[in-house]
Amino acid sequence: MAALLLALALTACQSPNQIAKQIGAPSANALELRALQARRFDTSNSIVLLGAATQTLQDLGYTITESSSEVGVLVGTKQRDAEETGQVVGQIMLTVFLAALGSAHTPTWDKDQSIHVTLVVTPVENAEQAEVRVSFDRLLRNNHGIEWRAELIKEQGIYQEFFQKLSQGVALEAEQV
Amino acid sequence: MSMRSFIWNGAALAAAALALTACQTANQQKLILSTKPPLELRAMQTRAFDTTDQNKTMRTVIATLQDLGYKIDKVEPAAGSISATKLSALQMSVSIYPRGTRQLAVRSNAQVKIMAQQNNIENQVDDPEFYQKLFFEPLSKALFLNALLVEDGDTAEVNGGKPTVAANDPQNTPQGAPNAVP
Repeated sequence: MAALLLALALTACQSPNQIAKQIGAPSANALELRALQARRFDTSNSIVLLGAATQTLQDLGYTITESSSEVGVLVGTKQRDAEETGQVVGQIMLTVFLAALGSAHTPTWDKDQSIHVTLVVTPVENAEQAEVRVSFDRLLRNNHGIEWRAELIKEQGIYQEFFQKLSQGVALEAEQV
Repeated sequence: MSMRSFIWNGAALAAAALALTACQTANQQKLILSTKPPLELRAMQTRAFDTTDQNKTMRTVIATLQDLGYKIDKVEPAAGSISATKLSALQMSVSIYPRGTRQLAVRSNAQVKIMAQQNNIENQVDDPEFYQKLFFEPLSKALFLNALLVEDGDTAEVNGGKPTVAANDPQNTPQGAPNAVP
């Protein structure tokens, strides 16, 4: 997965403005990402789409944290376990190995994650269509309870699953943009 | 004082001290504000657009933020305000308000969160290039409108419809530039 990784603890030699410019820069494959995240539906009724999207997100385990039908926005979040056996075993082995060499290492691994979803419905001008753009990102906390990694989710499967469920919900076909 | 009460007092003190330090060390939030003059900050953070369609402008701001990878945190259409966060570290708040009778002003304010020894330090972003290149340029393209610089106390600078205004460095575009029409 070509994920956009971000170490929250960035080096101290950079100024906050430089860090802001790094984080704020658009992703290199913005067009691919757009293709992944946006679909068009043959309806001009944004409210129906928003309602169906709310149900789809609830089905997927999200809690809605913000919504505004006037501007077609829906935001949700969910908590998930992020522990992977491989990573934990690797970290513990590394700790044991380094201890044998006389060096201390604190084993650190992904513990849990909050996944955020932002969904925006926009009416398509001069057409009986509406565009739905959805984006997922996650924030990982490690086993010491510290937020240490934030990334945009770019797995195709997650977006496909979402649009498939949403299409079923509105009984309309999702068209590639 | 008996030995017993001495021990009890000591234990109570230690517990109190522990409780206090627990409060103090838990993720302190600090905010470091820009030291630049307010007028300079306002100039880099604000642009005017030749439209009065608040809903469409708001939708376009939201779409632009989403396109740039921000997650929307709060939207308040009646007040024209939006707040968004990118990768949990870069926070942006945007407000849209009427400017005169024929324009809307868009003001954005960004803060970046930096972790330092488990404390989050928020720094206000005060680089004109950040606001211009990483917010107003994409917004201007999405709106199909020029982002016009706002000088305090005067009407907006109107640039004969040239799409290059958005690309100009705000510092290098003084009021009354050659192609400006009053």
